[in-house]
Amino acid sequence: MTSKARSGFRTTTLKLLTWLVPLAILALIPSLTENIYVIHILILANIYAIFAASWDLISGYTGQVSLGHALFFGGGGYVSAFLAMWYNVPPSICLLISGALMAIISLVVGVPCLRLSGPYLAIATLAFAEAFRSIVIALPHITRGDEGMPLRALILGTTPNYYASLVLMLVLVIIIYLIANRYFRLPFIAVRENEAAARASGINVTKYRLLAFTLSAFFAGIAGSFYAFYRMAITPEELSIDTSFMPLTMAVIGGMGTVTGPVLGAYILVVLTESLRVIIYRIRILIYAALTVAFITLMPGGILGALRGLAKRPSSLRSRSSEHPLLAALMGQGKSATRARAFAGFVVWSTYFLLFSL
Amino acid sequence: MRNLILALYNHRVIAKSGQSLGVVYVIATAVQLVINGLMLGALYALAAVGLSLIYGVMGVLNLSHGSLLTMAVFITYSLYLLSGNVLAATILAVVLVAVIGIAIEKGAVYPFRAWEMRLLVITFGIGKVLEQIIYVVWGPIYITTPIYVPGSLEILGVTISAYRMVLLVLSIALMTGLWIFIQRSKWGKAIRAIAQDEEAASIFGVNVKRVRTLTFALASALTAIAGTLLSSIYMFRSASGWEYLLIALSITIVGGLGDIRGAVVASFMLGVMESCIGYFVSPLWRTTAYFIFIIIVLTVKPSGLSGLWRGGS
Repeated sequence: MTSKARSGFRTTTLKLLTWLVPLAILALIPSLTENIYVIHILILANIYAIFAASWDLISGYTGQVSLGHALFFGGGGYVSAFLAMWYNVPPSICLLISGALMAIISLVVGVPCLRLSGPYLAIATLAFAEAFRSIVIALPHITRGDEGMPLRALILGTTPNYYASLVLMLVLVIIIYLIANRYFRLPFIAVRENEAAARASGINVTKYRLLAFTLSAFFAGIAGSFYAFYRMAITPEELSIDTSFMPLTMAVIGGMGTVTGPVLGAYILVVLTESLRVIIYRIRILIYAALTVAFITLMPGGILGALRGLAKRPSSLRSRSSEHPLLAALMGQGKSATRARAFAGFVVWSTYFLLFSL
Repeated sequence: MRNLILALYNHRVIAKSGQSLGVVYVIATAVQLVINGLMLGALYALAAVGLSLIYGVMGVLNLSHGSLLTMAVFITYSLYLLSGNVLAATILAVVLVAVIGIAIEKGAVYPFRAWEMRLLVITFGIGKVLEQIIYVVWGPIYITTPIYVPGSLEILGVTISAYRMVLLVLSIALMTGLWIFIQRSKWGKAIRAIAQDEEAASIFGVNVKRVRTLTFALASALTAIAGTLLSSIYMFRSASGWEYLLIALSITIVGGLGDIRGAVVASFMLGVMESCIGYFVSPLWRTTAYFIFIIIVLTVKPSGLSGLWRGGS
């Protein structure tokens, strides 16, 4: 065995281990702990992982930011609630139907917006989510307004729910990963990086954006439907801007355009906020927002991007620092890279961060 | 929908029962609706023009615009409680919000001007940060600012609140001032030059960075004024800003992104539409109506009203 082959084998094993070890821990958690609250938090994390990965499919890969993904999350929940409570549709079929319906609804926004280049999708999704929320509140005799709609549970018990959510998360995230990184990787990234060049090389830009958006809505709808069944209720809160902001934060913190990054971000954020719930509950969204701004300005690759950069080249932070003057000052880069300048940069950087995190 | 049918039915009954009384009633209602709509439109125009100005000059969609508006409302409210002087409180709040706008431009928008989609996330995040700062500092309360001019005018048998006329006149005066500033002054010319071609403008000696800052400050100040005036009619809470951001966004889309003239015309149109929807259907449906407007305009004519006078899209 040559050394090259051996190192290749070693990296494959390492890659497999980085996937398998967290999975094994996740699979064993119900037998490791008796605490139902921990398992409850992890179920939420699993659901949000699907949600964040679906957001990444449209925004991380094709570069069209969706600011109203709560529409598909909450919409999926409401569709399941209607189907399950009025027509007695079995829950497992509800999941699929609500995903499919959300995919159809995404066409209403996607077809007019995605054929244009510019921030139109962001505007229209933001507006559609708010419009749908106000419709839900305005029709209390159908949707029960602010109270929300009750549902029958999909599965009883916390541990079975945990395994169901884990399996659903794994299946959907692997499907999203394959779609984004195997089947449509090149057209998606071409559309994101340079629209004109993609068009010139014969890629139907609108088609691929629409495909990503529809699939994204489909998976978000399934996530929302499962969430509704798990919580046994769905309220207009799930359609609000706060909910739209969740997958965005998770993807930005984990690393946009990677699918695994948003999943990582979902676990980090949900576990962080739920474990500090007593202390920071009131300021949790402020922390989300401040983290989002800090990450997207200073570390656009997210945690995963930084880890990958460190694994490849420990000094990669320095090479990226030209992106932001404050980061460059912090790293002490430039022609007259003196220690005083680096210190000044540090002061600026920390006031900057303090300003945003209050 | 039930309200709409009821309202139409009532009109028919009144119109049938009394010959002249019914007609007068219908006309009076229509005039009141239009004037109310124009007043709302004028206030929305103040908010939307800033958004459109920023997009036109630097190609940035500032999604923190609505939160700046709410920020102005809450700062005015607190300063009024402290000092007891409405005018001073308003002016100080407008200046403070303009300073926040400048900080956003310097710290978070200018360094990332090359990435359009990243800027969307950044400005959205900043909007969320501002909203949450309001929520943490002031708490989950509804407020209004106590600006009011008592009395009412009666023109041709139609009663109109004097205060609403004052608002209408004030916003139109501010808009005219902005128009003259942009058309006539040196800074205004620089703003228009950058909107046309940033590189060419900088070659001809325009300080692009400074003009961008000025634009951001101007837009923030306008939206702050709009917020303070709006808060005397409507209740505000920390998350109200998104609703007004949405209204401003639909106005800029209907008027054509980056077109100030289009934004002004569109805001009067949408203001009248909103007051009609509020009267005939229910105020709860206004967000939906705005969304439907966005989708129709994007489907039929993406360049909006600006396509009408520029020709083509």
